Amino acid sequence: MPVSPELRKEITSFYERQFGIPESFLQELAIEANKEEIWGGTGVSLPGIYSARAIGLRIGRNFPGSFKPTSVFLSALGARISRSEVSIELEDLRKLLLGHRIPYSGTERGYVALKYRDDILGCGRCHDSKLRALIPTGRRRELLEILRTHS
Amino acid sequence: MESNSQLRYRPIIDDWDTFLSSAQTPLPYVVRTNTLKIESPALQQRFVAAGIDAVSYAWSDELFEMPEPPGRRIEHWLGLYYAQEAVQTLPVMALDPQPGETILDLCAAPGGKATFIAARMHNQGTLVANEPSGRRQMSLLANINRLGVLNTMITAYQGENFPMGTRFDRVLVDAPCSAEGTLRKESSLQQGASMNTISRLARLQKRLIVRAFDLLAPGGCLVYSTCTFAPEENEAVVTHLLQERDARISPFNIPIKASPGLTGWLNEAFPAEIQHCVRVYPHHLNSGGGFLARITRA
Repeated sequence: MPVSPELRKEITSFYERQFGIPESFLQELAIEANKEEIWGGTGVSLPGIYSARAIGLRIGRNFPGSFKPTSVFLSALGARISRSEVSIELEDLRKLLLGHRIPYSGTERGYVALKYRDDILGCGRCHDSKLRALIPTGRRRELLEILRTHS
Repeated sequence: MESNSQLRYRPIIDDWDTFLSSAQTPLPYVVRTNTLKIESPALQQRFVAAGIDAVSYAWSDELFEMPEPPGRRIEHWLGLYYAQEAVQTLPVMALDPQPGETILDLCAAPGGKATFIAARMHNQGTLVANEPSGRRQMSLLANINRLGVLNTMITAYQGENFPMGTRFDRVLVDAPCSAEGTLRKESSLQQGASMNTISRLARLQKRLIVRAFDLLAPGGCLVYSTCTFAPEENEAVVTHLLQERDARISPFNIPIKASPGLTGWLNEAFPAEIQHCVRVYPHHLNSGGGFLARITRA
């Protein structure tokens, strides 16, 4: 179901504050949520048609008092992201994809966009001088395999 | 070597020897640029930088022929392209989706055409990607996520029973079929499909095309496509629609050599306008084979 104006404002403010995504871009999205998941899409519901899931992409998870962005939406935002990017080198990327936390001494805090070369790979988190990847496990394994093949 | 089933099609396939030769040749690796994430020149620059000799198609700068399997590259993981036979892009080109429209892909999994439609819509408007099989929905969903598609709703109806509440500007029926046109990647299909399979699928295809037509808004456009050679699944299905509804076959241009639809097969005559349909054989574009009809509603 559509989110309340308050939650919508919270979500768009989060993406603008954390990742530099203009609210004007996010205003084009219809945002829907259930108990935990939040979805954003540009399509509209159609009369008499039951959708197996919400339109568009999962853009976040809503926990009490916090909001977690998703890798799939950060990847879709790509070059629109202008803040909270953390660039990683190949060896560190491998460790992150294996599920390890790696030392982090940069200035970013909280949720970040993991960047490898020029590409946004997905969501990470900086906490207690450590960085970890929050990319879904299956996608992490796929990327790890690709990196093994091509390096 | 000619199989008995292939010989069935000898009278209707132009340049038979070239067809046979093409059918024995492995398919090229082809990718379609996902323009929701990157433009074709930028993708080509990435290929050059990676030392990949990817060659763009003369008739579509969105398509690249790759020298290696494309599924195990980071560009694929990132959703910058979709690995897709060139022939599979033609139904969407015939559909000609526009931003802001309401479009239905009635048989959408695994999403190669649905994600192409969304890209042509620039993520604007609403695309309904319908797939009744839960297992196939998973691959559809994974591709929608990977390619960053924002305007798509996934539904799970049996196509022939899709609800009638909404009328669509365009509908694509890329129908379940006997897949004879995929013989270059599926060697068992070199023998052709059985008549039992063809007959069973043709019954389903006739129900799908009629429902798809009924879902069109006035002035709307329906593209019916298969990846098979069997006229029973192609011209006969479109003829069934013409008999059941006030439908018109609309001529369209595709950017490759192709053959017209058949006006007769075995003992059955098809209406003259069936010639406006298109048959594509593997040797026409060094890809798979298929059939396309573009149908409009007055």
